[in-house]
Amino acid sequence: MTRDRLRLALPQSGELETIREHFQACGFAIPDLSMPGLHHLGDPLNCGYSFEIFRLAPADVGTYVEHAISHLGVMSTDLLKETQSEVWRPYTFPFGQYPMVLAAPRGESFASLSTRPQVRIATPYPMLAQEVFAPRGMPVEVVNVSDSYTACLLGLADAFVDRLIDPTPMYEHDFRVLEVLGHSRLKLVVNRALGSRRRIAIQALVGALEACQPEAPEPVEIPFEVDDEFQPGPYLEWDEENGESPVDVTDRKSV
Amino acid sequence: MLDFQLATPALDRSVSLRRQVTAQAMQVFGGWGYREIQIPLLEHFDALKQGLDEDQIARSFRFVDRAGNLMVLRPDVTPAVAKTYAYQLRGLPLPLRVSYANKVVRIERAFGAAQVESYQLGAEMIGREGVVADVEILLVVLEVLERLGLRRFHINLSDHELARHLLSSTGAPRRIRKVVEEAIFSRDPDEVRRILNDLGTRLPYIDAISSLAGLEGGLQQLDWIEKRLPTDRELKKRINYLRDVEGALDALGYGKKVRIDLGELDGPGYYTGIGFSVVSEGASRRLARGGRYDNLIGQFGVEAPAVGFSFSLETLVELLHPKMAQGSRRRRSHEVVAVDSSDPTVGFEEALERRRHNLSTRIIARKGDKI
Repeated sequence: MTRDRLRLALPQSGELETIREHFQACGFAIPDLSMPGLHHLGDPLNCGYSFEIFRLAPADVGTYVEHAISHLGVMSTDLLKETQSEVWRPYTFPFGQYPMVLAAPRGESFASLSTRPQVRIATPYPMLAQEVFAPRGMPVEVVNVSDSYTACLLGLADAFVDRLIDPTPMYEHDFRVLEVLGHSRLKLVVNRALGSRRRIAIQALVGALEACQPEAPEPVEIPFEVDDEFQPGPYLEWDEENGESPVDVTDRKSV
Repeated sequence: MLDFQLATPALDRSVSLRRQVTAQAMQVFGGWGYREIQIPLLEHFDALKQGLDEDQIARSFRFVDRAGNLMVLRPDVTPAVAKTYAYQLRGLPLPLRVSYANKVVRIERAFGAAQVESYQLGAEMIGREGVVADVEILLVVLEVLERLGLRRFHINLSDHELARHLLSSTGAPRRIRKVVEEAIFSRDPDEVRRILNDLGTRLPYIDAISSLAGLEGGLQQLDWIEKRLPTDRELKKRINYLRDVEGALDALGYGKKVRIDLGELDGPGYYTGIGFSVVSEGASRRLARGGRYDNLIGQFGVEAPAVGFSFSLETLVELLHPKMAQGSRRRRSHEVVAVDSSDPTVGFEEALERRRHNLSTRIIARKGDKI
């Protein structure tokens, strides 16, 4: 790499468009990133460095930055923790903040899971899952999958640990959150061996990002099991004459 | 299961480069009066453990020997030097200057694998504290880097005592202080502020501590912290100490190579004063790390201040190898001596003559040769 360039790796994730808009607000004329390769942007900050932007798989950003192939990148803290990338994180984006949750089919609890001889936890974050359960002394088998819902629905796992981006699938599949394990945040990540001049340029970038911050979105609604007690659920009556199954009488009562 | 990257020295120039780098570093250490010390790779765990922090113990290799003793393969040289001084070398006139080129065995992240064996080249000065000792150690580091022909490097200078003082002023429990320290080292001021705000820490301390995580560093970082907490005498003392160290190096012409960077706080838990790391934009990991550890030798029963550093031989070789390999390709055509098997004497005489003048020589057999 030449000395007057700063290379920025962006994640090919759901947040890519929002990240792009944030950088555009700071004066970065970012082209269509669906085209692979390096995109040269000139020096939008007048900091003496021209920027080159390229996109990567989200989990790879930290590796590229750690090994100085890219000076900068954008990566979420869940992946940073999982990949153990040794990078600096001087800026937190106002968007891309999601709760990391332990969830299970509705009706399950920590106690019910604990009574099983072996609990299987599906997760794309095996290290985080191990960290959660090891200190609790629960014998769990962590199943490394990218789609936690399918793993639980098809019986591969009893519960899952994942980032909660949208609560809708959780309601659809009748899952509930047992515990919020933390929050994942989106960070600007920086190589740790940069010289003074590059650091000053990156500080200018952080200043520009802070000055042009978009509004933070509403926090994600977390569907806890206990919340169901306060929801207007179906009214059930025992049908003593015709059988043993409870009968939904919601419609009758509302009429 | 960890993917162990066992030490497999490649049959290329990296092997000889390792030897060259080691020789040059040891020559510099010797030139400053640091005498080479040999310490065992295998130690009794009980004898060494008080010098190791939790992380070092977790990354070490321990096993039970045939007599039932719990043994450890040395995971870090400095605690082993401290133990050797306390048990064997106490009583020698101080300051005692020692150097080493030793192997350490520990799980260490490197390029996705867990590197187990690595080499450290280092020096320790035992029995002296203050600016003179700290500057001397930094000058030794600088000379090694210069002697190796490195130009694009920086020494980031921090102070563990200063950071520890600020963090303990928050009244936070040890576990939280550790998390804040990690956020500082990750240069994550937002995370530092979030944790300290949740703790109810006073604003000037939040500002001062989060500024440790700043990217720019430099003397202005010290000025800014001093302005936020003008009445804190202990803080002022440490700030002035760092200014003295930086000022001395600047006066010696190393101002551009050494910069104040108060967030450079990682490393073993035994550091008590200045801490530093050497980085280069061409290397993916730090080239060297060091600092003052005035309480470590005391863990083995003898109080003595000390300061030292160690280079990572692997990282130095990784950085130097492409440059040296290029040089070797350029020279190769001049090194060749052709030897004919029907009359090998002439060719070998030429080869011997070249070797008497210490010139690199490669023998090739002539066309038609039976060999």
